[in-house]
Amino acid sequence: MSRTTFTLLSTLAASMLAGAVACDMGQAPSPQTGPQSNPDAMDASTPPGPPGTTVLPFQADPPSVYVAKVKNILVGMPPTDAEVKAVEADPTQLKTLIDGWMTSAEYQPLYTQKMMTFFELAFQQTQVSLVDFADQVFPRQADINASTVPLLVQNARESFARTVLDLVSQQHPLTESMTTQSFMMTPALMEFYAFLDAYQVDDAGKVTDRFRAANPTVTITVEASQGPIPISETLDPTNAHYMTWYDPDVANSGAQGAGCQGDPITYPSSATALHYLIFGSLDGRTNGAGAKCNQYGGTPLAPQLTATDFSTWKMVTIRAPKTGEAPTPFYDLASFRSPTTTELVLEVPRVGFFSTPAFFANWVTNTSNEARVTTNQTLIVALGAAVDGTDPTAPPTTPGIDSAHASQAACFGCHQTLDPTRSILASTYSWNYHNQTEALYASQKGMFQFQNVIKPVNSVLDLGNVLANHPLFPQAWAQKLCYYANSGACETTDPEFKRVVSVFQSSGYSWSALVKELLSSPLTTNAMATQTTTDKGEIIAVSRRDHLCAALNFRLGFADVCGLDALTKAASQTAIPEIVSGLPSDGYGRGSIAPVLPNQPNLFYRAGTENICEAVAGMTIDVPGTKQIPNVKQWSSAQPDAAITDFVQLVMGLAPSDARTAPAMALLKAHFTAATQTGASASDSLKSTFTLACLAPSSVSIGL
Amino acid sequence: MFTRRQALMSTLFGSGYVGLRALATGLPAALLLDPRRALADVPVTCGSAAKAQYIIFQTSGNGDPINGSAPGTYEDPLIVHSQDPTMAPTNVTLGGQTYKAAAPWATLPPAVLARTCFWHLMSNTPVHPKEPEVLKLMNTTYEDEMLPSILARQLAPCLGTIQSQPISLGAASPSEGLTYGGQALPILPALALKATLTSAPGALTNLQKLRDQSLNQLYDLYKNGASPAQQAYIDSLVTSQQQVRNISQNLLAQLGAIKDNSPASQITAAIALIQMKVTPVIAVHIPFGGDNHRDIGLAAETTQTVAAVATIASLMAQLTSAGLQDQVTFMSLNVFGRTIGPGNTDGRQHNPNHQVSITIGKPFKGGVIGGVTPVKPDYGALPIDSQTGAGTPSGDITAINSLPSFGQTLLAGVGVPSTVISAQIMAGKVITGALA
Repeated sequence: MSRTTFTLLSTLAASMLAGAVACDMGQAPSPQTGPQSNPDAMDASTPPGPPGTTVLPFQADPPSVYVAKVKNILVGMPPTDAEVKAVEADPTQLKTLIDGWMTSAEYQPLYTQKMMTFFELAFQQTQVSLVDFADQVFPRQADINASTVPLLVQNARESFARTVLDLVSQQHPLTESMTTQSFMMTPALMEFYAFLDAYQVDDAGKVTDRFRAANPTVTITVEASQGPIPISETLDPTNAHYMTWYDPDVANSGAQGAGCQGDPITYPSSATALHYLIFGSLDGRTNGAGAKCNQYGGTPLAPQLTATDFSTWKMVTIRAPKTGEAPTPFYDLASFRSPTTTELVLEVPRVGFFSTPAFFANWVTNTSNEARVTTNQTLIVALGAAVDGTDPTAPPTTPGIDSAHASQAACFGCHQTLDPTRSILASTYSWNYHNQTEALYASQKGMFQFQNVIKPVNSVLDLGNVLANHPLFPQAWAQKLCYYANSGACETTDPEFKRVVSVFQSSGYSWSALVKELLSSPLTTNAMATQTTTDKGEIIAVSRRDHLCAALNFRLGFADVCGLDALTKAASQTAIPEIVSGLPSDGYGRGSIAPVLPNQPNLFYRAGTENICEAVAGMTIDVPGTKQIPNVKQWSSAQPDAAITDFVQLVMGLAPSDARTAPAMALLKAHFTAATQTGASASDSLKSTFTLACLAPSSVSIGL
Repeated sequence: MFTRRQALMSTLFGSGYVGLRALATGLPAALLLDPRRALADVPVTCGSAAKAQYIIFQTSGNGDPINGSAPGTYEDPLIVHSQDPTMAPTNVTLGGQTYKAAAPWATLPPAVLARTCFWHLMSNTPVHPKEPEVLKLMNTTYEDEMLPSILARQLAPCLGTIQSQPISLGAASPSEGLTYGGQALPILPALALKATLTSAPGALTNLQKLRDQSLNQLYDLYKNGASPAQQAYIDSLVTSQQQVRNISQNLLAQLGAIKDNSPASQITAAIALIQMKVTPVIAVHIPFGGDNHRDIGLAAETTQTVAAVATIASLMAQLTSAGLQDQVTFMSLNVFGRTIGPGNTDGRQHNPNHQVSITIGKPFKGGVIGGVTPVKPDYGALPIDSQTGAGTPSGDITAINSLPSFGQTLLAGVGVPSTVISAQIMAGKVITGALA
């Protein structure tokens, strides 16, 4: 190459490079001035794959892998040899197996527990703590007795999931979750719903005590020295003990402040004082001597509600009062405990998942937001789509639009659909989720306008019906299940996904039909490539908290080894509850269509699961009879071979015919032998062997 | 038939003469095809070990009213501040210049204030769900990586940390969680961190090494015949096991002081993680008033700001005690700020136009970057002069570009090369006036 030629080429190359760089980097894009555009707007339920990730070549999974995956997801148990062989012989038998896991006496309770967790998340009823309910009882708290707080919050969290489980177990279509006015409740939760009806908070935070208004002269008396009073007498207006309550904490009422000791103590008519009393607390008061007495949370002995009042569930229908009819008194515990009381008469309408105290606690609104967050989250739950400014719906009118918010062109795109749609919530509920009393909002019923559906809505029941009949509903729920089963989205354009959705539709929105179809689909099994796996690859994920804890519980016989249940958590003697609070877990974020699913193992997952496994080993191996937990699997280091066989099949979930079983067994036995040779006792060696099995890839992962 | 000559010509002159350009410049063809991607994708090497910092990154999806107490907001008499005596306007000296700020800020030691900088920025969103987007600098980062994750990835090779992913200790909900390379990262509350990393001494811990060997054999067993995706996943299990064993057990005792998940405990955990060289970036949540729409007399804002500044003061004292004051930078970025104009006496609304970030660290000058100006319907960030950092209507950094410029400046401060900065953040420019 001559110098001239080289110079020419160099100049050419340099100018081309400069051009390329200028083109690519010269004018950096500015942040957008309006709402952020969503490049996947036309496929809103399919988020893009992780940036920078490489899609690895697909390789089909064998039945030994996918039967284990499906069974683990559905019932937390390992596959049997017969189940794997049945599917190896005839892959269509997976559907039969799924049917059995959903309905058989052995597995149905496990399936129900797994689905309860799923529905709590899917309907966004969880991720709440007591303070999240504060707006609904502004400016107070829903409960101040430390012994009942976790129980009340858990009741609220579980209620709607239990409702849906009941509906689908009776073959009702899943669409009823949008419109139901019946909810599973405990007596404690019935009290809470009724209390929220009596304690009204308007848009400005002004409280109206309907109990006081209806009972202005009632004096609430609380005593300890006279001993317990039957609740029937307390609630009988004709009895001398009417509104006289027994609370042993009154004996120590001096704890409320100087000069506050007294027995009995009295309160003027007050819904809060009575509600707190029922939950075992003494409200603040000024006593006859003028002493200011602080509220007192109370001891575990104080609540009128018993443990069974938080654990006895029944379906309760909420209806509006008829003309002249009074709402249900919130303090009528005797009635709430009666199996025949299956109705609450309430002023505040409750329809579907989007009006429960737990949903409202999750999505607190305010004078600025005006129920927009509630509406957007309702759309996300019901339809798997959010208001993001890309909705092609062309609203003919925009009733209820907030001119201040929507005055800027950049904001109008969202507000033109969101504001009319949220109007029905704003006209029904105050910003504290009680009856809307502000005429401006109450009179504006609203117009549902979202994703090409435009319908007037005059009640929250109308809203529920529009959601139930919206064309996005079936796809949204198939997608939620896909996230649950596969730790990632199915592509909505995937023909296999479309087929699953169509089966769901044609089944009349049978949840069981959807579960069976999706869990047996190659979308879940990876028995063959799909468009989803071709485009995004196969996802292998850590066994996130709920899957891991369910597997440990169900396989080893624990009731709640992770301490996730408020009723059993206190019994935990290990650090497991603290560890699991940091494990990757399924979650949802505000405004986000996709759930938050940490899938990758990291050092904390590795360290946390090791500590969990070691703790479980301590509870299952060589435990003295007196310390054994009832129903929990026990192994003896005197019989290591039998134990190791269980470890491989039960903990690692490898069926006997799995090619990995024999070498895994040999590895575990070798570890046990090597451990004993270090001088460790047989017991410690077997515990280490259990920990090894418990940390095996198939024990802590989904998809291996 | 495709001849050798055709192949050569295609390579050199095809696809926009990429081959020719590569030949002429000595740059890889990939860089020429997509310079930004190539620069962003190349294996990360340390830009400047001398400038590298550990980062304690405060973030809140609530949009706390930090801008209600920050210097730079006290010159305009119409701006509403808490009237509580504990928040009285007080002189603070930042980088040799005196400003008015809420009293709590004046409680920070002079040495801390000397390197404390308040940044008046525009996050350009009034909605809570955009917290992840704000951490992605409103989608101006390469492949939508979050700022804490960019920092972590770039700083890890300089600091030799066990992992390059950041850790979120304080996220109050999944909305505040972090992503890294598009993957959601778990939230690890302080108490969980303590329980997770602490191994009880005893026989099972003594058998760890043997168990790790056995587990490695199990990993090999599972990889045999596994699909490529399964193999890649098992590789990550192997890596995480190696990372666990690299954690210094000698420093774990510090976690013993953690009794709850409070900001103070998050700080304790963060410092321990830094000393253990686990990660370059730890995210925490220190409340400064939260989502205070209804806050009578700005009482919550007052209480929480006082507590928050005390937490920061404690952090700085602990860093000094540990000899880390020159190796750790505190920074904050919230989803948005609050309205501060007339009428905001009993609560504040979302303000997409004004959010105040804080940095406290060796790489940054003490002072105030940018400023505040009336922007309907409230106040907003001023454009910034990149040379001086001053807020001025004639600033060369527009208010809307103040957020990515903040990100670029942070990266520059901790020694990330300018070529990498511009590849990672595709808007704004470095505010050289902020750099020490």
